[in-house]
Amino acid sequence: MTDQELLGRMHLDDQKAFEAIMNKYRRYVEYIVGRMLNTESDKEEAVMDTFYNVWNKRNVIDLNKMSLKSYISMTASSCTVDKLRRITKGKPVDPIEDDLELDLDLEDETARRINLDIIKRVVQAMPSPDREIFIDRYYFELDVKEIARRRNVAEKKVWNILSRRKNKLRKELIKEGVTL
Amino acid sequence: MSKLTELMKQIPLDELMGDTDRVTNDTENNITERKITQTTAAPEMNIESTRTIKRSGAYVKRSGVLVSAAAIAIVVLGSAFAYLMLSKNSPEISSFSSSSESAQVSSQTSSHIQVRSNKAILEEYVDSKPEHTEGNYESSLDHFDVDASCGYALYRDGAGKCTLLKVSGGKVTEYSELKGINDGRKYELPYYMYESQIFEMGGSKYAALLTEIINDDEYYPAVTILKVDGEEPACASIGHCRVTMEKYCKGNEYAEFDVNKYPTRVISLKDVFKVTDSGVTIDGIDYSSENGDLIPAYRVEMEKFINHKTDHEKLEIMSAFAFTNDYKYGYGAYYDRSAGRSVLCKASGQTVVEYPDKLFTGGSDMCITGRIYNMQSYTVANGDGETKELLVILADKVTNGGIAPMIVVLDITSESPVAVMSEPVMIDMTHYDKGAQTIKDGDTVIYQVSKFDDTIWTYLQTTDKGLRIDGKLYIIKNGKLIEDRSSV
Repeated sequence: MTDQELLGRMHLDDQKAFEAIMNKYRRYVEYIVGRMLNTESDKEEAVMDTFYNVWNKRNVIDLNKMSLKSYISMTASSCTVDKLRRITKGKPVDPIEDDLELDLDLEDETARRINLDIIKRVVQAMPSPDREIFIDRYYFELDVKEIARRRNVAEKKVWNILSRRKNKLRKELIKEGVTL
Repeated sequence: MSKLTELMKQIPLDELMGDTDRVTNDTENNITERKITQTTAAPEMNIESTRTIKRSGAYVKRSGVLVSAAAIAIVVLGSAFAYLMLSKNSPEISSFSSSSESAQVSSQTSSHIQVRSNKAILEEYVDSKPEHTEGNYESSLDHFDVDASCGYALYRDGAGKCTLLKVSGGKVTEYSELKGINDGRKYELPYYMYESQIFEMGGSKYAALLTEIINDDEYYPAVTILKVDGEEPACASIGHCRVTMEKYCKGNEYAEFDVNKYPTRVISLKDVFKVTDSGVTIDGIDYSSENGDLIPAYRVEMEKFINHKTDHEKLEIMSAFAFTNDYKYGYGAYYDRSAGRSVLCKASGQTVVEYPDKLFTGGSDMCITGRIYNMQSYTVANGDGETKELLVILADKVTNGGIAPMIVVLDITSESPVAVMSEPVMIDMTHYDKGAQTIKDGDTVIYQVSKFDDTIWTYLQTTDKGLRIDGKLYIIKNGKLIEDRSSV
């Protein structure tokens, strides 16, 4: 059964369909939360929160805009960030500056997909630990201090990596992406 | 959220990470081979695992049994699914989304299913405390579960103040101290809890905790037994049983103890605690179960010893009992009516000795001619390096003039008890006499402890400097306990 079919059944409150979604994606969600959370209990709660949100939003998930896998991935990362905030005793993650200084076209579906592909390709091509640091910052929204601690590098180095990689991404988007 | 973050979150993480080449073709499980290996590597049987916890640059190993990852996943899925189904049918919770709100919901539904762990509820409770919102994050939480719906955590705030938190049915209650299971004594909270074990004794549930106690700037490991199935947590009257690290630390560095301090010489709860048929064993000393409380097994031996006396009819058996701070020795007393005096006994293991004739070196006046009601051991220091372990006894003093309560203090640091005061402290019962319990014999008012509060703590307080008996401060000086008149 496809994701679309399963989601359609979830719209009808079909519990078995939701169970099938959980069975299909639970390890993927564990993979995402496991990248940032350390303890089993924290991971369990983030996994539960993720599926809870998926169920709650089942009627607004639009597979024309985003695949179910992408939606679950996005939800899992949000739940992981929420959990991290709680672990750090409510310490807010620093607001991330709007850093690209580009007016990317996000309305047009084709343009959006092209831009996403570029981001994916550029991030994938980053060497380690630059890629992990970039993801820590712009995917999990960790503050630089926390990234430095987790990756065992100096804060200044984190800033340098982020700046360099961000510029590279910006150039690629200007060159091949779709801007307004 | 920045535009870049918004975009990046639309890309599956494994694709961003470049893990797609390692993703299996199994569409039912979108997971990297690495993750599959981690998940399926765990055997189906329970496995013994050791985890290491870091604190202040030191480590302690804790052992526990982990269920397989598959089993955890099943529990998570089952709980999540039931949670979602439950929430679907609950209109009042259909709109919440934040974590704190979901914790509240879990407390509403916890009687049906354990959705949020007790630990999660306690963490949220602590997170909401004012000190957190004021920016003080230097706190910690040591947690253990009694069962799915009840758990405890020891919380230290940034200032190091400890509070015991209990969560039951989603409701959190704070305790700043522990009360005794059967007596009126109050026990301070431990400073750390390292490990816990829930066990049953006489149909009740208890928690054995490997703790760290801080007393007069000295910190030491202890085992604390809490009764955890009552309305309030209650501490066994053996208090925080100190663990003698000399047994476990083979080197010379055990003097200053920290459970975490010696990575190669650490102890775990199973090293120092086990449940037996008659009670528990802590640090090699047996404790027997009695009325839901624990007493050292040598007390049982002492009772047998007194029971076997031929003039049994004339004896009032075991009117009081106390044990030394290291729990190696117990002191008890029986009242010999025919002789008109109390006799002190000392027990260790299965050996019991008594001091019937010359109880104290202080002279015949120091004999306890009445009944002993209470006794308690205290370690008293004077700040000049002089420390004594004292046995404080509350008893009646029978004289020609009548009966009056007194407190006698013995030095039990060495093998035999010796008096540390030239005379007992006679308690001025007018401080405590409310008029209802006085006994008049002609013109003489007879005060008998049993007619008043016979709890020793009514008349005695411990202070940093010494003992305060009936309102007066007594300090250790040159081996003796003398009244401190400097503050008068």
